[in-house]
Amino acid sequence: MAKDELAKEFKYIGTRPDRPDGFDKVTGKAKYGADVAAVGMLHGAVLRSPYAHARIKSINFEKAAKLDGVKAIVTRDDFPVGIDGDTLKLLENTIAGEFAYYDGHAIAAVAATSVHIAKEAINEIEVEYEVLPHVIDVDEAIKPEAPVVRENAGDFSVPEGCSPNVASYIEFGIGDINSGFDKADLVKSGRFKTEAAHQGYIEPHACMAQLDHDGQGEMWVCTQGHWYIRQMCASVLGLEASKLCVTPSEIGGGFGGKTTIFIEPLALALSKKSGGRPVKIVMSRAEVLRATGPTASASMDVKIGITKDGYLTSGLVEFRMQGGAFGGSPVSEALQCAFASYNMPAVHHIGYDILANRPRAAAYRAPGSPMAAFAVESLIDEICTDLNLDPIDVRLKNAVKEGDKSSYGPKFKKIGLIETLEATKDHPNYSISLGDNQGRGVAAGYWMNHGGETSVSVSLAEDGSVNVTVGTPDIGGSRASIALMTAETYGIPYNSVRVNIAETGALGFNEPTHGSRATLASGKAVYEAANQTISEMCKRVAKKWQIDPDAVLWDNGYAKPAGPNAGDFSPISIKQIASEMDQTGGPIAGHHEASIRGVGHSFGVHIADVEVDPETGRITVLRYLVAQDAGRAIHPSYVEGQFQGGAVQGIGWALNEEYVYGTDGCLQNAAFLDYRIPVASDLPNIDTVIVEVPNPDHPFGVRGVGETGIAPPLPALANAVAAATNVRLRSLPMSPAKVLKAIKTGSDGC
Amino acid sequence: MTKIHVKTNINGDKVEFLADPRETLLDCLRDHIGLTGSKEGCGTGDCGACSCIFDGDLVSSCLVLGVEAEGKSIETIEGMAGEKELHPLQKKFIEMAALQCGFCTPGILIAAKALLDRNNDPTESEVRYWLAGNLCRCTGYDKIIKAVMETARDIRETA
Amino acid sequence: MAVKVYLWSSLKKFTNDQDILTLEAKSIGELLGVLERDFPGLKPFLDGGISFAINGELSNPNSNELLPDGAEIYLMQKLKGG
Repeated sequence: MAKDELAKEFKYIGTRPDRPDGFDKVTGKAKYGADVAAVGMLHGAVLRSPYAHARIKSINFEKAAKLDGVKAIVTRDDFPVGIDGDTLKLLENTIAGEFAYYDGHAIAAVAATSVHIAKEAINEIEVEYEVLPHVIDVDEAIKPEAPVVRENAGDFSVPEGCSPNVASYIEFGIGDINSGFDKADLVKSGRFKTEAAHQGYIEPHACMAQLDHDGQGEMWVCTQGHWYIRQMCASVLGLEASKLCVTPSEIGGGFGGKTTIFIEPLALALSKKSGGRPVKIVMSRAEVLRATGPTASASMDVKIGITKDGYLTSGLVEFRMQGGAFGGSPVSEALQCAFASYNMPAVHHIGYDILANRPRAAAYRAPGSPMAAFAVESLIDEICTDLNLDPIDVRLKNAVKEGDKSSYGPKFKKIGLIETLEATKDHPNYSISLGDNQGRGVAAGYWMNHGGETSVSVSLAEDGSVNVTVGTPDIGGSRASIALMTAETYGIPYNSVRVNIAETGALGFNEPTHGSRATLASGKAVYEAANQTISEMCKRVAKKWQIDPDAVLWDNGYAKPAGPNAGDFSPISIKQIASEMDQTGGPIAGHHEASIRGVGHSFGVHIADVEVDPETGRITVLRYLVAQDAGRAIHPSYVEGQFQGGAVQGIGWALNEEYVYGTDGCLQNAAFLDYRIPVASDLPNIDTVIVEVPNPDHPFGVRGVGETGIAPPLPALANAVAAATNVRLRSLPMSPAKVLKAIKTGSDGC
Repeated sequence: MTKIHVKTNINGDKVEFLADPRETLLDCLRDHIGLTGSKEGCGTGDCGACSCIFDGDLVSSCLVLGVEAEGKSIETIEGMAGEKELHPLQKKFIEMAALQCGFCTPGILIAAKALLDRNNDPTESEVRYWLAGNLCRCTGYDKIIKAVMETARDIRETA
Repeated sequence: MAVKVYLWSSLKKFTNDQDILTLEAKSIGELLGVLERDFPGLKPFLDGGISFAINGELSNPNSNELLPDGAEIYLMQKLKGG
């Protein structure tokens, strides 16, 4: 669609109607993963490794099987052999084979007539372990002499001489970084570390599964993407995908963590082994923290050159990221995000994906970007302080714009970083004066966004209302945004559109609601599908008027003659066309399937004001501003919600959240009391500015807004703390004890 | 384990159920009575998703045993709306987009109602501290706090 | 139809130290075929899943996608999203 059309006035887009699923969600009616039951249903429980690394010598479940009410027990022996590659990693993570690779790794699962019996049975299973050496810390794991997590885990990309725990290696760049550093007036470098953080969705993983011996099965799962669940379950169990019907429940948060399988294949296997009875498994919070998610921990070296008037000349990053026992840290995404906000003549990126005896890292909101932002944006802030330059001005001088080559290669189309920086500079928060022990930090962040495989359908009801069917679960209001785009396309009231999230049998393949793609991709596909039905309606009206279909146009819910030459006919409403469709050729429906193109890159800039208590090291966030380019905000309230939620997850990662391991390699804080996500009393209001530089490749200008907001808080808060205390913290989280030590010694030791 | 016969009152209705003495009130509400609006996010009283009113007190129902409900009066999210319309907090939460995934919403609404029933003129700090036991991972709390403050103002104005 | 293919640097060891290749290909499928034929060392990377940016636009691999003459194609590791 041409750019000039993007400036047009919208009737529904940009308004803030009630979300269609609001009533169900404020009354307790909405059904989440654990909220269903079936006749004859069994309850599952999972036995998990108490060791960080161990050989499983034997599993004896005779006693457990004899308990009254135990109907099935599965171990790795109940899963197919001969699987390799990524599917083998998925299976290994679902249920351990010869080795348990982390504290919490699933060993066996039981189905019984009650949860209590299932848990009792778990305790009766006898496992003989041979405990093996383990490694937890990323910098320890990369040492050549480190305990080996998995033999032969390195792929073809790993250079010779690396630690056996290096799973993959990547290197890329542009320009000559050495000549770039030569041209700089100041070259600064630093090492930064971030701990693993969990996605922290409040709803634990839950599913109910039923699988018959003929290979047909059904599942009810809380997931961001039920086609992924179907594909992964089918591949690890050796099932035919189309025979597995997966229905997504309402989902109680995901943030990337619910894009893969954990308990789902166990529930299917238990169901099959118990003669096809439905089996429900619900994780405890401790299981969620020990065995799902989290994101990677990172150790990062950054070197940046700058001229004295603030132009970045060269940048080098080496990121080492630990993504658990099977690899898969988001190190390449982190590298792509590292310098993406800046137009620099030379950058070079080196990345290592490293194994450790920790749970398999899952995607977490803008995977890799927050760590990269912490390292790069912190160092840029140090440079601004050294050269006495305004941090927003420096970013404005170097900001990427349309036509610039990104730091990872491809040229940017229309983007809105400069507009976003200007919005923060103009915002009153940037000029409020600060008191003693208070400081202000600025940081930018980036996410590339994602289109992905998408299928939707649209059908006209007989009264002229419209059913939209999409495959992207609604985590944060996407039913509302899709209904708004549908209403806009037809020119019918928002309330005349009903958006359904369909099970896997009802549509073609859909990627999950991930990568900030639901509103962008399902929205674009619905626009296409709706326009098919509009063409069909115009055709039917043309027949009625006995004129050429091209002589009928669609305008605001009505078919009209395209001009005076088309004839003198009164417009016909969608209501009338729909009421007559059984007489004019039958149902009117449209569908669209595509790998959605035309994603729009997303940039955000945050400003954090903090106060640091010099006696306790406690950081109080005084005020917080998020400005981000949304492209166009379809439902501004939910766009703000994404900005605020992302920012607060970043604040938690920066200040409180971390995985704490004992010397035994076991997780010590597998509860919300100890893995402390931000609570309401920790926070101020999160102020927002929605910048709108429409994405020219989307019918409504959408970029995708979900992810970027989690990246800037990590450096923005570290920068604010540095301004408040004159001490630079280079490792997260900035817990009170660490801050206090840093204030006393001048450094956090990183 | 032998089950115990429990007679209680839930959202104004007399209810009887058989509880395994190990079961929490939350288990009983969800599994025996079919009231799945109260959620389990942690099972350890940290997240507040299972918040209920127990004889007038705000509790985490995952920390109350089901058998303790004997002779008590319990209010859950399912009883919050009136017959004709939603509670003002429910309406305001929808209107102000104070929910995203909606999983913590029942617990937060119950807790917020408990606050406004006691104090219809809370400061923002009071609201933030009152709700500090209710975790929300999606919203950053901003719109939740504003929705509670606005509802309190509406209640004061109509009172 | 000549297109320019940009590789990440660690792939250079499989392409005679070149990180920009000028190749003849009319579609992504053809391009992948040419890369595999001329530089067999790239095969495990290509099989492992990659993303493309074609004239600045990020996309999933679609072997039927036609490439404009002179297209700039960046090979990138497969992207994840939260």
